[in-house]
Amino acid sequence: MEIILKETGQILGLRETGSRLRKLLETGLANNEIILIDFEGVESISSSFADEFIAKSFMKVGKEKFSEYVKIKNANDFVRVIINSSLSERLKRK
Amino acid sequence: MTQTQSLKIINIPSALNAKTVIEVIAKLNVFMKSSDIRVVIDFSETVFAAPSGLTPLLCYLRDIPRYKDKFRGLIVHSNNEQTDKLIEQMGFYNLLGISDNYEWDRDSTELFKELYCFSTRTPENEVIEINEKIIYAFTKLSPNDNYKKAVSWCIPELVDNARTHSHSNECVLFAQKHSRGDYTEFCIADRGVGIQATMGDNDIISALKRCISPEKGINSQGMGNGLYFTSELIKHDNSGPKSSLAILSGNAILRITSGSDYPDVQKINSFWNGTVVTLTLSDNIQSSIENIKNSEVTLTEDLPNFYY
Repeated sequence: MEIILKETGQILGLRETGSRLRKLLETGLANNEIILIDFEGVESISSSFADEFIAKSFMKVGKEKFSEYVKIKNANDFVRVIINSSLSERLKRK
Repeated sequence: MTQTQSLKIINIPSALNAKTVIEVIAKLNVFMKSSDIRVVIDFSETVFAAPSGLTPLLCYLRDIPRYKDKFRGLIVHSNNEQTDKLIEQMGFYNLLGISDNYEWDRDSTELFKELYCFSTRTPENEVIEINEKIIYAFTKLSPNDNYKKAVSWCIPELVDNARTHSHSNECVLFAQKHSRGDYTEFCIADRGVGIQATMGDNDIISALKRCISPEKGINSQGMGNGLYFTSELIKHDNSGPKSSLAILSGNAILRITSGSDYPDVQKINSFWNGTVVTLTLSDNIQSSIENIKNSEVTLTEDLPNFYY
């Protein structure tokens, strides 16, 4: 499964968007599919979006399965920082 | 209560901004409680209108027709031609649906769907477009990477806050670049439940302080990052006094300015149903949202290895 984010927008900030995309992600994970999330063309994301889309799914399935099945490509440095900090936040609150 | 035809005149100060709009709100609150159904918003003496003043005013004026049956409003334009033109260019009159005879009412406000008004009912793709338009408009000419990233991160966070947590019928977002002073002012206003209700605190002062504290406003809906990290960005900016964050909600206002560690929180002699967030960013902002977020990343060994 491939999730091409630039089809949604170049600046992704809404929890609603994250929630919608998370449902796709979780469907793929439930079916043990490899999911490729392509951030090409995405210039910036909010922490709210990253939390809703990626961090919540990560906490649900765990590091091992997430690392095995989810691949992120073309994420610029800023997007990576936001994703990592969102994951870190959720882990701290666990 | 019998509705009367008497006219309530509300004079807008010569400088309409975050401080002076509070007095205007107090007068509007008196009007709303009265039986009057006609109001005059008098800009004749106004020579300067900032987003932090115009945005909550617009938000409030658009809300009035929902509560006062047969309401009619009238605008008196500024005697300063330049100021009046600027207010017009900001879309203020359009958003009220002002006709040639300077009047607006319930029907006229509903005729116009403006780019910068949104609610939970606004389709997701339209809100994404709003974010992108405003971000591109204010970052395209800036050479400062910190500024660009600050705008790109903060604005969607604040927009999502208003849309997700305010439970407001409508939210208004405005921005203006100040050519003198090298800063940009962004303002988002809603007429929703307010910070105290969202945070679940016993009083507004503790709610405001908590929403920018490391404790953040974490609840079942989110991690409370938007206001906290925006305030951290302002605190760490040592470029001068230009950057600031102000949050008005209920009967209190919190302000934090660049380089200061502690916010100033005060009660006000008025009441705003909802929240108004004003973010002012210096063109030369030195703090980096990227660095601030990076410093929060710990437990790196627990992070997945999924980038390629």
